[in-house]
Amino acid sequence: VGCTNLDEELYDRITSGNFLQTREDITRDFLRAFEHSYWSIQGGNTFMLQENSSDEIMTPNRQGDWFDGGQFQRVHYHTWTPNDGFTSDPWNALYGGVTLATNSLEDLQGIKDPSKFEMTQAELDGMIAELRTLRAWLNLRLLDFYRNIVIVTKVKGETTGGPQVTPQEAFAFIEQELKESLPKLPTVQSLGANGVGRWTQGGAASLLVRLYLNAKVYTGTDRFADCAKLCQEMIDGKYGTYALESRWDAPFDYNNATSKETVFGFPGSFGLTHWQYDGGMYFWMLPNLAPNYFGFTDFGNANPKYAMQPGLDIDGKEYPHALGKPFVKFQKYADDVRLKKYKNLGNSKREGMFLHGYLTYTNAAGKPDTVRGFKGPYPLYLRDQAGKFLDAKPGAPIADKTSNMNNADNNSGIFPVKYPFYPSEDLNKISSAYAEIRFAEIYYSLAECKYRSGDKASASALLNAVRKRNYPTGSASLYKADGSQLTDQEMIDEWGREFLVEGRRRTDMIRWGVFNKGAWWDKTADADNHTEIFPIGQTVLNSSPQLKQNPGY
Amino acid sequence: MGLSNNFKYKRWDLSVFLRGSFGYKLFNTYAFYLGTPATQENANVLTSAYDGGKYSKLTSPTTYSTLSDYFLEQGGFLKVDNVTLSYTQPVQTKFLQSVRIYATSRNLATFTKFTGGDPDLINVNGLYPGVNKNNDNNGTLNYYPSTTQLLLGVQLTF
Repeated sequence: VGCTNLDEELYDRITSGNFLQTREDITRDFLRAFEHSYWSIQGGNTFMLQENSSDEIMTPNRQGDWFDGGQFQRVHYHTWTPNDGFTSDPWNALYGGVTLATNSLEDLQGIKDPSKFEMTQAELDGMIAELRTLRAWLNLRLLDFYRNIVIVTKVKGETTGGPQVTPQEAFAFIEQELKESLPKLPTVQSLGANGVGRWTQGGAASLLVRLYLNAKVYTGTDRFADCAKLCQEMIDGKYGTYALESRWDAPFDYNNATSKETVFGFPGSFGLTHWQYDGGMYFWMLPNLAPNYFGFTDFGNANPKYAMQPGLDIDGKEYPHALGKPFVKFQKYADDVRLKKYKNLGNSKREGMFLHGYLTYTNAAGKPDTVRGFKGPYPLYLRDQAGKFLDAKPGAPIADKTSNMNNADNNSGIFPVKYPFYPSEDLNKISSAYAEIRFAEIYYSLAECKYRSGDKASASALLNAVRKRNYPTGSASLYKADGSQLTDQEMIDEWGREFLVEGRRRTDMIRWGVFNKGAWWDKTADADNHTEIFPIGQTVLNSSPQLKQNPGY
Repeated sequence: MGLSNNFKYKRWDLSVFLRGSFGYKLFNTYAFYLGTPATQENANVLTSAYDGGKYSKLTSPTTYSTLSDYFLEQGGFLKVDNVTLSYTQPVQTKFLQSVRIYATSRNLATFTKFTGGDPDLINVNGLYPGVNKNNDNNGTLNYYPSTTQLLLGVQLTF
């Protein structure tokens, strides 16, 4: 009789079947998807597409730099095709997270006796709820990017993906995941000082707010009433105690991990991960030599990939279109403290949110110097214009009047600096968490719901609750109590001011119906609205015969 | 498709091997990346960008490096793959029967309408047929020119 049972018992290796031995193993398994998710705030071109397709940020051809095969022009003009790699990237980045989260979920859900790992059932349920919430966050972004997505709930042993579901089904799935998880999640108080990076009841409620706020776009059915209800409950403290910061920069500062405004943040540190300070986001939203100006030299040279779209033409005249012109929108309220030039004040303090004009500093030889570009020896004068200014002095007319995505230089565009770049010797450099959800968003979301329901006075009060930190006490820049200044355009502009470069502008513009119909700098209205969602990239389509291309592509 | 031809005249031998492949299209990656006026600033471009031909008409930077069948060209070719000319001299000595002197040329000439180099080097099977690819299956500018070889030899028959 031969042997027929060829199963072997492994003693010398770790498999998925025997990986979980201790409580620490469970923590590792639990955290894997979080690490990837932090990366995904900028990885896979997610941030680039949310910002560059909007009226806020540009990546123009700077004398040959950043032309990159015209891809950023196609993002700006909404003329992308499935053969542009960036149409596959968010799919891969976000499904990478969904897959990791699902894999860990299956591990955790398979634990029959948590006491074996010195863990209570409630703790285990909390971890499962957090992973489901994290996966819902990823799925929500997939729904926002692609609309016709695949729901993944099982990955172990699976060799093929599933078919796409309707947006309504995907919406219902995300809603259900969040609602079921919410009661089992910890609260911000129960976690105490180590709460950053953890999904709490407030975090899950905020994701429901995002889902409901955009429900009309996603499913055709508006859920503003549900959105308003949740926002109000959050403000009332039903899902945890949160508060708005009194300083505009506090939500982004080195100690924002413990800020009451941070509803969900990914913990960052100089020595470990700090993805918002990576090239996919804010470190490449600077002139090359801006680190000299900051006195922050640990990362080498920066890069001017991202800058704000111009509000003025070559001759300094404001563009007539209503959208875009982000810096002009800030200047509309001239006493806004954020308008100051970004400057490190020492002792982990800063002022101002923008790099504009000349950036002067003391160079290594102890001499006064000014930040230059790599295309000439002249100092850069950063301005709210895009063109080939080269060494032209501020205000001096230049002959080349062309201002478009293909004709810019290193003087072009103002650079926003939300997260501080403290000097190298500052112990709190690059220590901010990435505040993915700020309590201010709940105020703005509720204000939008109120505005849409005709209650402008309440909208005004909610917006002012956040805005008052941007202006001196008693400033006339605060909205009048009756909300009479609030119009659709003002609401769109105010979302832009508060959430500039926080990776949501495209979503906001779509919700307000201006993403396809609107015109802004070097951008005319689209012929139709099929570019409201991205095509599923060709390399993704090639991977499964079940996937159907999105309409219009 | 191959065609062998052998000619013999007195002590001269000539063999000509022609090889060809017809009726398919290739993607011109060189024109795609480097052959249009809408390329990277300050970059060297191929003459096709300004010769008035079809690639010189693509002036918009917005569509640069956008995949399109505009870059497909007829990939068919006829190659003079092998030519050998030899002269055989019989000799009447104790140790030697004959001496043959020959010259062989491989890849002497290629006749094609394809403008992106030797079409013989581009695979026309696999997942992405007709595109010059690197090891990661991405279209590439890498170009290893096909060489023409010339061999001279002496053959002694004992």
